[in-house]
Amino acid sequence: MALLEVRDLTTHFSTDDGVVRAVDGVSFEVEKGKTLAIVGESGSGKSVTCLTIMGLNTGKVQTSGEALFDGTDLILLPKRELREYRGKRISMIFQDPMTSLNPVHSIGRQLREAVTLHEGATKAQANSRALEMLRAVRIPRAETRLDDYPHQFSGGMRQRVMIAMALINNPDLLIADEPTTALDVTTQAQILRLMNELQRDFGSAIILITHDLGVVAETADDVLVMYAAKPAEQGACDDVFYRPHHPYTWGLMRSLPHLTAVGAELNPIPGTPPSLLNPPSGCRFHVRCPYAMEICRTVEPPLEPAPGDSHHLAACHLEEAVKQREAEQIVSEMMADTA
Amino acid sequence: MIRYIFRRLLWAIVLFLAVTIVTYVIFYLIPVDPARLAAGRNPTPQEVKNVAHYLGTDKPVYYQYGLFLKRLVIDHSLGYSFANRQSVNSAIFAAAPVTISLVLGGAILWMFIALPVGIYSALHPRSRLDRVAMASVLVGISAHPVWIGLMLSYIFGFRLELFPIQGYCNLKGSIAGQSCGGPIDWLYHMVLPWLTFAVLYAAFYVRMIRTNVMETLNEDYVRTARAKGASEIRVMVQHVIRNAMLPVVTMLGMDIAIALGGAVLTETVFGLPGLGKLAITGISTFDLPIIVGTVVFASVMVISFNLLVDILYAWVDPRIRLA
Amino acid sequence: MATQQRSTPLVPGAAAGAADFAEGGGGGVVARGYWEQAWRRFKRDRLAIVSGVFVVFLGLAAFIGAPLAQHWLGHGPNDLIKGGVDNFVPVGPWSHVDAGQGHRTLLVLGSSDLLGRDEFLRLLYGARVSLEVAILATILGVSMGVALGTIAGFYGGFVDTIVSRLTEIVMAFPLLLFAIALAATVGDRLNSYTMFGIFQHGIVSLTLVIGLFSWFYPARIVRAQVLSLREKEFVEAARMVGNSNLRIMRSHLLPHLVGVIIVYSTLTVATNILFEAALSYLGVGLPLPDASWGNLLSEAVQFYTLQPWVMLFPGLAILFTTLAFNLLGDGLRDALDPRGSL
Ligand SMILES: Nc1ncnc2c1ncn2[C@@H]1O[C@H](COP(=O)(O)OP(=O)(O)OP(=O)(O)O)[C@@H](O)[C@H]1O
Ligand SMILES: [Mg+2]
Repeated sequence: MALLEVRDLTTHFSTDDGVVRAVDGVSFEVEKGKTLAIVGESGSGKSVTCLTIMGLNTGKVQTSGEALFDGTDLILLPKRELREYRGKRISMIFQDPMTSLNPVHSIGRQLREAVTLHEGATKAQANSRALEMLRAVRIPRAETRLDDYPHQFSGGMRQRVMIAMALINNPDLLIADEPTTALDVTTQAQILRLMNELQRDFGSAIILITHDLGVVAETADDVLVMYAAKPAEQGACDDVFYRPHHPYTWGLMRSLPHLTAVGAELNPIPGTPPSLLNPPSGCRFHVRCPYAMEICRTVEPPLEPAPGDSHHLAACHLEEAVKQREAEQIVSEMMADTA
Repeated sequence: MIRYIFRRLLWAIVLFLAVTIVTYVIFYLIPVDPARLAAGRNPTPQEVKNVAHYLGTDKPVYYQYGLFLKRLVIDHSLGYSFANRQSVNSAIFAAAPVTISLVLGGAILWMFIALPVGIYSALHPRSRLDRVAMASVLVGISAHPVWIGLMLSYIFGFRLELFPIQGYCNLKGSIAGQSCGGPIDWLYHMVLPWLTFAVLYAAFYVRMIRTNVMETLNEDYVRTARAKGASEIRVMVQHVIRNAMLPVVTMLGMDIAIALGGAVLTETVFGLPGLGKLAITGISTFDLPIIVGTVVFASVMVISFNLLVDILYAWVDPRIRLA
Repeated sequence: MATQQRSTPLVPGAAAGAADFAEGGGGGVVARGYWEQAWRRFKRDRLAIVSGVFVVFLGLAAFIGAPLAQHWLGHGPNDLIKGGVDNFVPVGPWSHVDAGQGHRTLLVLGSSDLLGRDEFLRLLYGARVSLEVAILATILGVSMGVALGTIAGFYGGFVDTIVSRLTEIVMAFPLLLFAIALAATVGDRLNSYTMFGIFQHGIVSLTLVIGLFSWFYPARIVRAQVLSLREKEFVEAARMVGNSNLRIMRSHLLPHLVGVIIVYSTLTVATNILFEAALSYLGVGLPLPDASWGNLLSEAVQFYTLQPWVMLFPGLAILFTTLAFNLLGDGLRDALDPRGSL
């Protein structure tokens, strides 16, 4: 059995303007020692999916579906018991490093808190653990910085502190919400290596939210592509990358910067993601989809397995033959680019 | 930090000078001759002139102000009342304990009300208690403080005869001309004034604390604390309250400081001989030294509390301390 | 740096700091849809609607109802009514009393003082004073505040420092004491100035004194708003096209400030009603024998234990009116600023 099994998860927020369906029927599994990448444009519900698993949404939330972690449904778990999991067995690196640290507590204190909340460690033990982690995330002169406050750190350093805090208890499941956005390429590589080590040493599972398809290709075992709160396509990384079955995935791949003869070229997907207050009828992507047909406007495509591969799912009305033709073309374009 | 304090200190001095100069100029410009008032009934012009010379009001305003500053800095004296030649220092010293009793007691009372209610309301928005609290807040800020005082003294003083309607008793035993004194009498006489004084502020503070706590609850670092597995109580105490209280502390300092300069309305309603009462009397008799004295005292309160709060703020908020 | 926020000397606290106010469509001109949406939201707020109706009704009662009532009752608000006092206590509500010269009259809410004046009429005429003073002072104070705040926020730098420091200095004054002192002295001199007979005695001077103490808070809010608006593209664009500063402020910044100005004006009216009543209560407001709610309260002090009505009525009048303006202001805020950034 997988470490985390999410079944038909939905999260709706009641706001003054109406109900925001931020996550609408998402299912996936993460095995021990494996990495699942979630990709999708801004506002597609990636963060909310993860926050729902951890029970960290605020506001008027309605959640349904299940999130079985080691057989326990986290959605139904009472707050008190859920706390035992948070920070210990499941931890999360938040997207926004600038505001995710408490401005009036020192870095050391916030790191120590993560340890002492779950273990009967003394202050000195917690301190040395904190120091060790700060070193691991490559904070220069870590020993002198424990007593510093968040505002004395740069954005990238704060992000590394957040990462240190998330890794400090060697969690079974690490959720990393765009963990490397504020970091330079070398540090980014270092952080990814750190996450790999965690995976190797403790068999941890990782959910990685990122916009960087390169990182996905390199590190992920499975991929979930989300569009407007729903899964558009999901499956093993290789399947999704080499046989993409959804026009949205094609768009994402095409929008990667190409190195052409005349320099970098961007092909962003035209249009903007729809409002989750009243999403479009039928296939939510039809408004922006160059392949849209009449049926797409009215009938919502089911998430169906690709022929011959029960784990590779996509939600699109297009003929199988069309999908395969397009997929091949895109993959060959990409190959040509990298070559 | 040292430089910060130094800057604030310098600014405090500038503020002090500005306030006293403006006070002096405004009251100098008022076309009322205090000498005429002080010279008694139907004075001859010569008498008025003599009195003016005696009071120093025949000198130009900058001279008077200079004299005032010199006396204040060197002799620590605020001068003598035009009306009865009593020293302003002693008048203020007599009135200050009354106002301090009223303000500090009132502040403790309103914080005792506002803290739990504000935090509860923030944690349970739109709950029944929150609705009741928010409705009371609206009534609290809409009712006139004088009227609140009169209502309280009618109900609890006159009807139920629980507390006296008027007057003040010295905390440290009775003084000349007073029939009561000591802590019990003091407390007994202060209950209604405290309540009256606290209503308006309690309403404001409930609302402010509620807003601040609600805002802080939405901060990302609160989510981080929860993600670490901290209990709700721990999240509140360690992460929410402290951040939410930073602006409240500032406001509290300012409000106490301003009220220490004279809680005019409450003092008038309950006949408390505090600084507000003193100032009003001074104003109605154009007693410049009393007016200036009370204004100076009040501004010194405001300025020094402001300074204190700034320093305190810097101490609890590392973003300022280490800037 | 710790900051102080204060609206008028009477009112502690008030909201801390202000962030961006809703900006309609985000373009150079506030989109019409913004006002339509605001109106739709406002209509849903029953309390605010009721308050608005109350305010309108009160205005009608004060300016049209008062003379009519005077006409029907056959006596004026300052008339001394012989039967209005019984055994040195003002009579209670609904008393048919001897008005002197052999005719009887009705005191709807009893009499207000030892001279037997009609409480009901005095309340009505007092409403007029309260509304006139509070609204005019608000217009004066808010205009000053908006002008200063806009200039400070727009020019920034040196000008901003001057205005901010000025505000800070003014806030270090014991403001209520100052207002009282001003009202007692300068105000006293101006009492007979009626602006060519438009207003009754004392209104102009009270307006000036109160207005002088109502500009800091609007100034702060507007400054914060303008500071954030200044950075927006449409202001840059307006500048590039060669608009003068004055024109940018008037045609590009002010439309975005309308919402915040409406909200804060409404709330300031509420505090100014309390302010006027406080000054009159202390005897430095509207000169007797004219009626204002504060005057009525201060007269009530003498015999409220024997005749509690005399304190109940003016107190409730103040309470309901202030409450109505506060609720209206809150409703407007919710309607004009749905994101709750204020
Ligand atoms: N507490 C909330 N209340 C109401 N709506 C919310 C709340 N949290 C998120 N949303 C809405 O849910 C949608 C999905 O948000 P989410 O943060 O999951 O996007 P995302 O995929 O993580 O985007 P990004 O790549 O920008 O981080 C957004 O439209 C957002 O406005
Ligand atoms: Mg996100």
